[in-house]
Amino acid sequence: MSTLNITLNPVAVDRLYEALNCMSKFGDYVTLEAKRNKLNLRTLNPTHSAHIHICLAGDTFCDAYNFVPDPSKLGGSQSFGSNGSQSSSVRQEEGAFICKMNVRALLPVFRGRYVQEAVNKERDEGFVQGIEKCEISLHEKPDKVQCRLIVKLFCRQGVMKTFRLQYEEADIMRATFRKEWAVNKWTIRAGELKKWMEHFGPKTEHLQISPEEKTVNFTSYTEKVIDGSQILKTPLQTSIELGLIEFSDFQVTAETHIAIAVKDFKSIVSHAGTFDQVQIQAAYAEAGQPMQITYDQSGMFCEFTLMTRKRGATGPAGSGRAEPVAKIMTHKSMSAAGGARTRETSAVPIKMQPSSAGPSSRNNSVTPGPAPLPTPSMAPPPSVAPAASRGMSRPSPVSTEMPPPPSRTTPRVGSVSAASGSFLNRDSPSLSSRQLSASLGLRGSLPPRQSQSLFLMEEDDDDDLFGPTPGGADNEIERLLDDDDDEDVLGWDASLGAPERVSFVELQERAVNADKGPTHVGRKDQEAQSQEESGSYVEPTQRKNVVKGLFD
Amino acid sequence: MPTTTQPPTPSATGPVFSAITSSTRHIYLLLRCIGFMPTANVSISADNIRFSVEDSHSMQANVCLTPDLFSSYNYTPTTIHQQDDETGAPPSSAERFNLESEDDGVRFQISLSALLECLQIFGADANKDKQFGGGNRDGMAFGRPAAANNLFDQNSLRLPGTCRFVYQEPGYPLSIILEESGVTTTCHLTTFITPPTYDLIPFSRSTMTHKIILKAAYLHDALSELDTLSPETLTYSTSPSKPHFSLTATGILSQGTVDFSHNKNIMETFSVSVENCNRYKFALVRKAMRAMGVASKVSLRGDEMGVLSMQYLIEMPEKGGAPTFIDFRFLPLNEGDSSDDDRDDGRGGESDDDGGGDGGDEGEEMML
Repeated sequence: MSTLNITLNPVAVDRLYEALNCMSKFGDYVTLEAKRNKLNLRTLNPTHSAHIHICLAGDTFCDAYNFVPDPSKLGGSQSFGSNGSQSSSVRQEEGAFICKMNVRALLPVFRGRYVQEAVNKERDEGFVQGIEKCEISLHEKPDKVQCRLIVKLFCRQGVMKTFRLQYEEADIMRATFRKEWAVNKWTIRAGELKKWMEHFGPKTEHLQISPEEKTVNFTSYTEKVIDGSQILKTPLQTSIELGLIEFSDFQVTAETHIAIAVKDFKSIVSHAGTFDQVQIQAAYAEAGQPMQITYDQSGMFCEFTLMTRKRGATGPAGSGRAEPVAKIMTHKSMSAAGGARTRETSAVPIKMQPSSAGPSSRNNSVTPGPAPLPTPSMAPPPSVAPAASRGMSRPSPVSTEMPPPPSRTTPRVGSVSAASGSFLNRDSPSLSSRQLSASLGLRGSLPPRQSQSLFLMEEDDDDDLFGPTPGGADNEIERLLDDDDDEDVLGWDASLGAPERVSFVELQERAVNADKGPTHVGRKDQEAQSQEESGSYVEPTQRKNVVKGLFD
Repeated sequence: MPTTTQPPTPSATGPVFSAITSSTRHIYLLLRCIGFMPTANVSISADNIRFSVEDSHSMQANVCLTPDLFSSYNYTPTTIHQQDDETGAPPSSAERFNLESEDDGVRFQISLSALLECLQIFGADANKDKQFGGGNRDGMAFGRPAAANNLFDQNSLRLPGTCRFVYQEPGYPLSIILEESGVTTTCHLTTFITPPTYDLIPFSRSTMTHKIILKAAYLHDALSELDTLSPETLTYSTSPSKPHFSLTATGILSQGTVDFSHNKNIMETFSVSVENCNRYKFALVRKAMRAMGVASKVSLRGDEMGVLSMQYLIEMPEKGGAPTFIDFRFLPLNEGDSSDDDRDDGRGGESDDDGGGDGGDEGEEMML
């Protein structure tokens, strides 16, 4: 059985609380992964558009950290001490302890534990709260009964609070982010950014970040006019221009406009703001691809991978939709052509249904925004669209909301699995489906489904970068601390050339479904619809199970 | 009029009970600590006026307002009451807070929520406090200790008005006359006959298993800690050895324990002879948390049957004022009806049913 013992001082506990609190704003569950020298906390939001990875370094963050992997999980030849290159082949061999816990259970345990020492002795006696030390240990039993993560808080006056927390088994999900594609980078002091972020209203949804000459424009806006209530006919828009001088570093290709969720960004920034003088680093490639925000201090490494959305994906007008893509393509051509090529190949199957995908993407904008974005750069001539011969060269209407690309596709609740399955080589085994099918006992009865990656894209299906398995390029921190993270990864176009099993018409329908998926609005429809459709070749039981497996 | 009993006057010209106080705020805050139930039983005697509430027949809370809180305190029992109630030996003044020595005065039932609302008429306009200014509903929420303490400090000193309690005789309403700077508010609260079943939860002092006096803030902290788990039951155990005193609660997602070691700084008294472990319904114990928040000390006692008595000492805001006690009693949950799976320690499951009120009821009968 694995052994895990962590000792934290009150300040670290407070940090941990802040981190968990930040994570709780994204998802309900946090995955703990204990390794030899660090503890990874991860969470994924329900729409799978944001992934948070916070790493606590065993030596710098914790006062004491000791993790001994479960010997039975280690490779037979491996001894405890020698965790070198040997274990790099399969992650499991390292024996990392992985579990999943509800954030709500964790939060109160760590809340308010750090109380500054009282200056005056008399008052100090009245202090009830505050701890002296925190010990976290793992009680794992072979029979899997009553396994608990035990948190002991040593309070003043000899009071000890013990929490026995339940956990579940879990699999690690990672966001893959290709550093080499992320050509746009900026760095800013967290305090500075936090100060400005407070201006963005709580009701607004999107935050657009667009560089301009000598300034960066942060605009928050909302897309929806709440149904029925005509109070807010013109949704609120707040623009803040930050001079480039505020940034410690700023390298962004002109006219790269990305939009992310305001709420997410604010959560991140406010968490970063709890550190002194931390620098937030953001890196991204282009709209519609993930953005990564990182910062670290005193042994805590935080990495947020957010999905960005294109301006066009949300805009109501057809032409408007196409343009940003074109823009980006031109940009891409100069910056990341190599990467784009790779994608092109993988995108091949998608090209099969441009006609159907087009209308569906229009459907996506169920709540046609009031075209809120003021940025003039967003309205360039549509002539650029033909540039679509390059990497991102899908027909322009499609490009906004692509069906998931092959091997990485990430169906939602198993429903889209049908859809993407049609694109994909259904026979090629996928790592992600391994998790599901193994746990559900489906492996024997049904062929492994390529598409059942656990990692779903809600917003932008055309991105392949999220995945349950790490891509070649993990984040820096990961690389820094991980000596062995190369879990076998599905190649990104592993499914190419696989025989299609579905008729073209069916395929198109699926594409519509898959396309619809990305919007929050159309989600229910889409689920229902694709459930109907997928009935033709997926056992209903499996679907149900999959639903459970994904969302329980 | 003197505070002691007068020669009985058959056709009581004066009221049975009348008292004037200027510390309305304090009385309000005391009563608010038991304000979790809508009705309260009131018993008035020469020594005190006692308000008690009960929940599910398994917990009771009592507040004794002693004559010290009143500038004038008159109790004039009628003949009938003399015959009815004063047959027993009169209580000694030392036993004033001892609840076993009651049953010597008039008893009736009133609506506690209405009483609190009345008392608040005063408080609400005398202070600009956010927490209680908004009416009784808001006030009913659990106050954090800090806020409650502030209230104590701020208000009771500077309340200029007076409050008069008048109870004419059985059958009449309890009148509360609030006066402040020329404005007089008179509230008549209907009194009800105390149900005959109403009895104090018996606490056997001869078989006391433990007595712990500790700072109430620590208990409050411990319980609010456990409260975050939203547990069903509270496991309360005391032991002569380590851990000396521990509270455990199990929620859906986790289990929490708070252990107190025998530390002079927080425990004034710690006398535990035998190991003892009982379980109480957390929802009921939670109701004592408001008292916990304002009290300075709490005395925890348990008897052989597992009845838990908590007595909170609440100090008067003015220096030198006599403290007031609020007494809570809880019946234990029967063994065997465990909602937490961690109880595998094989203690005899003697009884069967439960599920809150009924079980408590049965427990009470069993003990009676």
